[in-house]
Amino acid sequence: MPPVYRPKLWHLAAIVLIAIFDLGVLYMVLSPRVSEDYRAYYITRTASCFPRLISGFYPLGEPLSFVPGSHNGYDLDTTRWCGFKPTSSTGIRSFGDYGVLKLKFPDPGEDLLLTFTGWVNSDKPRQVEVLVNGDRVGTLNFTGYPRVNGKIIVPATVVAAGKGEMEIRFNVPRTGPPGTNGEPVNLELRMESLRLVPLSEAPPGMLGAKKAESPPPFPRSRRGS
Amino acid sequence: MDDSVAESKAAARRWTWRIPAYILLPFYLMLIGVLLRYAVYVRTTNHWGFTDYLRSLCVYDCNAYERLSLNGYEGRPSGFDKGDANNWAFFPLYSIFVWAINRITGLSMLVGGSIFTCLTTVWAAILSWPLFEGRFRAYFLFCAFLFLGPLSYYFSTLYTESLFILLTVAGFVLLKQRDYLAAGATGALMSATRSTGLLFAAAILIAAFQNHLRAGGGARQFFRTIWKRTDLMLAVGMVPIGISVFAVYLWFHSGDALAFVHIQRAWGRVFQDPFSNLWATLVVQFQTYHNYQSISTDLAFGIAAIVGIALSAVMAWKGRWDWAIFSLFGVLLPLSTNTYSMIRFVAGLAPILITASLLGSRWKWLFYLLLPTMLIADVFLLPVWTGRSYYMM
Repeated sequence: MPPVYRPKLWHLAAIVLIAIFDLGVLYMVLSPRVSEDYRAYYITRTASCFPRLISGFYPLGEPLSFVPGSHNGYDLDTTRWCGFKPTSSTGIRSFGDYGVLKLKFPDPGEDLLLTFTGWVNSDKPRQVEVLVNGDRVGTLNFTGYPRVNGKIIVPATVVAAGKGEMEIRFNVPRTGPPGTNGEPVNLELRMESLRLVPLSEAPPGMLGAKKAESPPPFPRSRRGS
Repeated sequence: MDDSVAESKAAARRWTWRIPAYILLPFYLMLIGVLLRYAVYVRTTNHWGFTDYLRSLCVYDCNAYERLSLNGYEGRPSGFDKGDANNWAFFPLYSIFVWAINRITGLSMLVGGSIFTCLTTVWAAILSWPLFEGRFRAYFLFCAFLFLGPLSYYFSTLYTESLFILLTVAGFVLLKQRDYLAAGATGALMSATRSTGLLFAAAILIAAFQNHLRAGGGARQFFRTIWKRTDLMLAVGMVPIGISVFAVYLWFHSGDALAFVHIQRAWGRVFQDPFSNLWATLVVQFQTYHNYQSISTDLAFGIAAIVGIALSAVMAWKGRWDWAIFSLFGVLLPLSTNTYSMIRFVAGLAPILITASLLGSRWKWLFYLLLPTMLIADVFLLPVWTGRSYYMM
């Protein structure tokens, strides 16, 4: 004889309560209350890094070292904002589509000379785009593993646009398709040191850099942000 | 060893002070396992501190569960090299128990949590006995795997496997007894322990369908009268309560109810086709790294996934569809995000361990071969485990 089932009222009451609770949970799932950087990195995945909370402190003019214990300049980890791994013997290594440093210092009201040392994990020629406060100021040409000493003049107008803050962004190219983790494979930029000096105070040997055109020729980059 | 210790009904009714073998066995094996591994630790490190031994066993996620018990859920993600990780990925129930033990007994999270894990595993083993249908040899192998096997570390330090297996076997025993409401409540606890606990809702429906057929009902009648099965609907509705409560907590804590899913990006996990992931992990060491001499972690994880899927097929073949679907999706769900930790995920599925034990004990020679092999592997893998091997993470 086939089994006979009888519905129970208290079951139905409990089901209704659970359904109401589930509707509340569904509302929460569909309406996250999160910051833009969280949404971009974790939810929409349009950003390739999640920003760190940093002071951005940078004593203007001092060399900034990303190699711990090298004792060749200011080495507190206060400027590594997004897309760079922690300091190591090979410097700070970028991951994702870009690495961004954020430096805070009083605007000197003049052009700045940006110098840095870095290398990449590729034996093929690669280009890395440099943007300051959203404006492209130069392109680094890596011929392979050898270090590149970058030297770029940042116009005073671009410095002023940051209002006491300078965002230096290195856009690195993709070098491979996404793996099983869904993340694209990118060139790894290994930044060892960096320095910003007011142009008037730059030592004579450091001059000869190419000044970025002003107004900058490219609009603010929206890549990955 | 006798394959069956089924007692007659009359003997079962007679009161006795004798503790049944299926209760004593897991206790003994647990004690032997703990002492054996401690002895190996002392021998290899020349150090007698028992807490230090427990500390050395506490690697990878164990630290995360310990920190979760100590400090609760963290704020803005900042962990790992990329600064994008925190402990929102870890489900709360296990750590709540460890925290409660700490509050009640004063034991440290590490010591209290380790004792809790061992005893939970013993309880899980005892509860699983009805699922073996009197096959003691298979039960012995199952217990030996838990306490003296190559993956015994998951069942003796702060990992959720012990609690999840306990809840899983409890759930399936309740389904066997057709107590769907209790099974649903167990499912709610499962989904508060691990995300795969959610799959128990499907197991409830399948078990109810199979029980209906066994009771003489027809398939069409089952679906025609399902609206009358308020017990079944309530049971299925209860299963997601655990994960939902966690989501509500995360919404208030982080603003994102699905933070436990989204934070997985820090571990390189994203939903994709599980079979593509499986293929990629099986061939990567040959196609990309041209390694034909050893088994890479990728290949090991791929093999573990295949074993899990194959054993799920065995369950289906044996007519245990509730076990089979639960186990199959219990493998495919993590596989769809990545293959990391697949050995642990497969070993954390009770039906897979029980089916493997039933198969491994089917032939005496295999049973007697597996026991010492597992024991030797347990001893030799201890330094591998404490050395934080990626194979076992």
